[in-house]
Amino acid sequence: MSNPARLPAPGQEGGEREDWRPAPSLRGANELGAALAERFAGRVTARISVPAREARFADFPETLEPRLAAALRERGIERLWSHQREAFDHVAAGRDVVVVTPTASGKTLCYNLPVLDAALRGGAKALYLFPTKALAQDQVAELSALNAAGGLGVRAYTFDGDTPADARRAVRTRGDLVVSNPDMLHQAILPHHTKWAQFFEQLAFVVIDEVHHYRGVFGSHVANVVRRLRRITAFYGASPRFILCSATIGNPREHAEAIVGGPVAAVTESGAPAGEKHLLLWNPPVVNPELGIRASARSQSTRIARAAVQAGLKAIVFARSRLEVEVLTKYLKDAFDHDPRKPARVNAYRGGYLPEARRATERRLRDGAIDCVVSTSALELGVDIGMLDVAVLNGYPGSIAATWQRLGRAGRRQQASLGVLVASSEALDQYVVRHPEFFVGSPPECARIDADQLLILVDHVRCAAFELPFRAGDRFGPHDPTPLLAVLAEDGVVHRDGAEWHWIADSYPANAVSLRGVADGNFVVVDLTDGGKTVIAEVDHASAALTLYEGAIYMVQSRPWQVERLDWVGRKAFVTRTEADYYTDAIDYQKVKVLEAFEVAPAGRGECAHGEIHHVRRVTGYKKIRYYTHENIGYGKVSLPDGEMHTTALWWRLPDGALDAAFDSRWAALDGFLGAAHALHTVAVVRAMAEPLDLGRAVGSGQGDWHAVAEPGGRGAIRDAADRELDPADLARFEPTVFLYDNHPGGSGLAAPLHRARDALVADATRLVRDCACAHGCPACIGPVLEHDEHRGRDAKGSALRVLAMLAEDPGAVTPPVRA
Amino acid sequence: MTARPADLAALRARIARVMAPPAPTPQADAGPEAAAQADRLAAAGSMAAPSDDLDVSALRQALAVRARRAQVALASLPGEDVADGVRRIETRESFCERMPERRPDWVRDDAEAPGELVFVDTETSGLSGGTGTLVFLLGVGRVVDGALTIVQYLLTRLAAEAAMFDRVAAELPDAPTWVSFNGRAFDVPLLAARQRMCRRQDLYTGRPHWDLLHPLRAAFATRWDDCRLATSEARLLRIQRDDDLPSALVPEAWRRWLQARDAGGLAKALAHHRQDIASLARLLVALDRVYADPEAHGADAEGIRRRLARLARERRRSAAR
Repeated sequence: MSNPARLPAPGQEGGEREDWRPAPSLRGANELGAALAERFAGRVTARISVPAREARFADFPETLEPRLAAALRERGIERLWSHQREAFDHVAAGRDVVVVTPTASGKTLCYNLPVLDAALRGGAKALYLFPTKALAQDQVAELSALNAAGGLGVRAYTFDGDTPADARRAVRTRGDLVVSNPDMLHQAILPHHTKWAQFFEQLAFVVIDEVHHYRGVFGSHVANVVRRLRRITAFYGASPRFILCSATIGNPREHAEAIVGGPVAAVTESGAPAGEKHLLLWNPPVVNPELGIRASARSQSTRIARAAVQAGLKAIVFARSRLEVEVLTKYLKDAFDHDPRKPARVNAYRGGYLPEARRATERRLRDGAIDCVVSTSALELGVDIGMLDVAVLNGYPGSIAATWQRLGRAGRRQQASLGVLVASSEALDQYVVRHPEFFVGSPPECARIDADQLLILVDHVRCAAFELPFRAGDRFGPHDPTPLLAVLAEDGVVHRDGAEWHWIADSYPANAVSLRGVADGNFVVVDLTDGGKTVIAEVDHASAALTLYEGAIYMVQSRPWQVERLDWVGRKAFVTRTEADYYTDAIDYQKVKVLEAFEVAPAGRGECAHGEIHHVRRVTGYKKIRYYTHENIGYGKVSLPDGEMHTTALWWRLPDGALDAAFDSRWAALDGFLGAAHALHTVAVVRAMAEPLDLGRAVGSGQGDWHAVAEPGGRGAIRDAADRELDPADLARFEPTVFLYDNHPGGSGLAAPLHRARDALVADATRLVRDCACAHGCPACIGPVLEHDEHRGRDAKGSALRVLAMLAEDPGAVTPPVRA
Repeated sequence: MTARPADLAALRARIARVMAPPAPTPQADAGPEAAAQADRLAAAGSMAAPSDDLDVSALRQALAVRARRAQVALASLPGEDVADGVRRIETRESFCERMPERRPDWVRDDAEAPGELVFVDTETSGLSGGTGTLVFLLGVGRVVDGALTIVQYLLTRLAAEAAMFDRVAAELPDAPTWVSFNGRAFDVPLLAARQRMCRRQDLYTGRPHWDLLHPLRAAFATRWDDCRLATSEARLLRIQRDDDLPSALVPEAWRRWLQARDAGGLAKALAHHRQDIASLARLLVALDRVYADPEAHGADAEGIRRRLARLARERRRSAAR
């Protein structure tokens, strides 16, 4: 390849020559936004403003415990914001409540106020559940501060996997507030509830924060854990109030009610003040008009973050992958942290860093000691990092709700803030910036769960029977669990004695049920440099194959290590410090093979089946990519065990020849098939009340010899098992199959009911595509369509409709579209 | 992950099979909204409307047959029913050894003068821990007038657990000193959990308790391969068990009884458990001799010296407080 020094070429990143610095006189995020929009008018496709919001105050409740009121005043809180008072009043009136609030609106007081008030009056205990350990620890720190301010003497403890065995007894018997997570409740607390008897007898509140996080299969599990919790509290004669908090989603109240299984009052208007917010949608400039190639999002994000820091503003950059975090951090550190004697101004933050390192970064952010943080979605959740001025999103996060959550990280109470959404070259991003109305006009996504999904339900009835015998008339949630208990009795794990069902097996069922459906066993990254043996990071099982193969460059705070040896069985990667001018990116492929079809039904000119599949994800090698120029400077081979999963799926297949008869070219047929697959996936996820990630989607031959993907650019392509691109015209048989599979090992129970609803799915998908207001296809129906395809009128939408018609049992039965 | 139904359809089929008759039709008065909700649940593979209407008469018949079979099977077990589902089995054997009258100094316990010594041991449905593990056999041994009397309380019905604890409490002396083998770590927490589940007072936690596992370990950990009770029988007590049911198979024997009314394994489990308690009583006497003269019994004198010194330190410290 060419010499990078001579390459100020298209797409060059970070080190662009056309550098732009904000004028020194510039004040605040709004002026930065205006200056950027003016200077780069061609790149800003939309400017959106959210006006400032005035504070709405409310007095402390008259009945508030005087010591608590004094502690609040000690902390400088003289009045409440209206939503805090509203939440308190709902709880005082005996209602469960969900509070929907933006970041930095004092939501913790919404639950701490009633909880501490009751604790100070004597005896009332509370269980706090957070989705992550980090959030739980934050919360205890905040409670301790309030406690100390008022000398309240309320004991708050975390209880999680890190709590030492000898401290657990004190937590159980002496904690007024126990701060934990749903997984611990499920696996450690409920199955040992007799040890927690005192705690449960006095349990007055259950606080579930970040409840929007509990969606799809995970949320369905959590709702069942709450059902089990209610059985246990009832056994101890307690009926706690539930206080929930959620980020902005489409259906906060409905979602909270689905999680707790009962009516919930919603507080949706924040009384906290907020400065005005400006949002720019940013499309990188076209650098090669012939090929339609745009500059990379990274170059733009780096530039915007640099301008923010130069203007004296605090910035956060959200990247969509851990690797992207490291690369962006390097570019920003090259600009601001070249003097090693000075404290770093730029930090990276992501999963995989050691907890102490993450805590340190959070602390430096709160103290304003760093100017810019680059993060994955890890900082999208409510970790307290203080307030920032500018949020740069390197790529569209994939949902409107997540976009607003990330943008919400920038926002001060009195000053303006700026958010910039920088589109990547991926078709979805390109669509969003080309059609700002898609983003502005759509409500945030709804959180969906199906707590009654049978396989999940039977898992939790099993756990519940272990915890307490079922007696005649007992319900599980709203259900009579008898049919499920009869099945468990047949398996010999429960035994019926008259009107009671008892657990009799010698096993601990909660250990066999993972709420998050992920394989366990983190990998540790061990630094062997200079004969040492230091753990520098932890990598979850799912990412290990993609980041820790031998030869990989592994980065922490953008400092490179090279992986020397990977001990797959021992879950260790040994690395040494290196000085590389490149980073590595794994090449992986996925394939799906049918193991057994349980049921095959005709579907139009093809068939629809459900059964068991074998899903393989294999890392075959890696690319070495040079910084800034992004040239590919070499490849390496990787030999690792396949990531394998047996799961259940449903699939549609058209026989050989059917598509050839209906389409002029196999390319067009493939585009249509991929578009149809996208639409089927969208409607299936909604019908199953799942999250997109719970239900995998794959298009392939079904024998595993080839698979088709929509390339990042939006065009379909076919690759074989060795990741070589094939021309579909060369295939002897052209029998594409679309798989929708349970994306949890062993299956999570979505595929079979979807198969029963197969005709409705095809009809729904047809309606979705046909009634979509777009002209040629869009992310809402068949998946994003390329800009130049849109201009040329390539009819991917029509192709998808043609494929769906071929899969429909009776194409005429689909009602004609209603167009405005 | 453990095995789970590979597929939801299979689970639904099983539910349909084990539950007769088929699921009821939607209620007539349910509005269109409820019907739509039912459709959605069915489509998504959810529980259909709860099926409360079982075929009750058929079920009664089946249960009556099962109850008669249970009666026959029960009659083959020793002992007598003292409550519905609680079998009490009492045995006596001669026991000429003298029990210690004061607390031996090799025992960790605060009470200087023991209450009546009660040897206690349980058999459980498993070792998994948590509230799903239950005690189906609780035995207590007492030495009175040259005889060891062992009373075993066997749960023959799951619903009788509370009745079993009531019966045990009624027959116990007022202030017993428990003697066990690993009871502090295993039996006492388990009994505490079970009594809590039955809403009964906890008779075991925080009471005087001599756990013989730790003194046995101090004396023989360096001499024997392991310090299980069975090992002490072979190497110290010279007890030979014939046709013994291994401990690991005891829970299974009880499950066979519950599920198939097969009393064969249960009778063996009772014998195994009775021998455990008898050995416990003999082990207490034997350990007293071992601590008096370690070399004569092939014990680790240094280990014993260390244990005695540590216990003496602890007693001084607690006396100082």
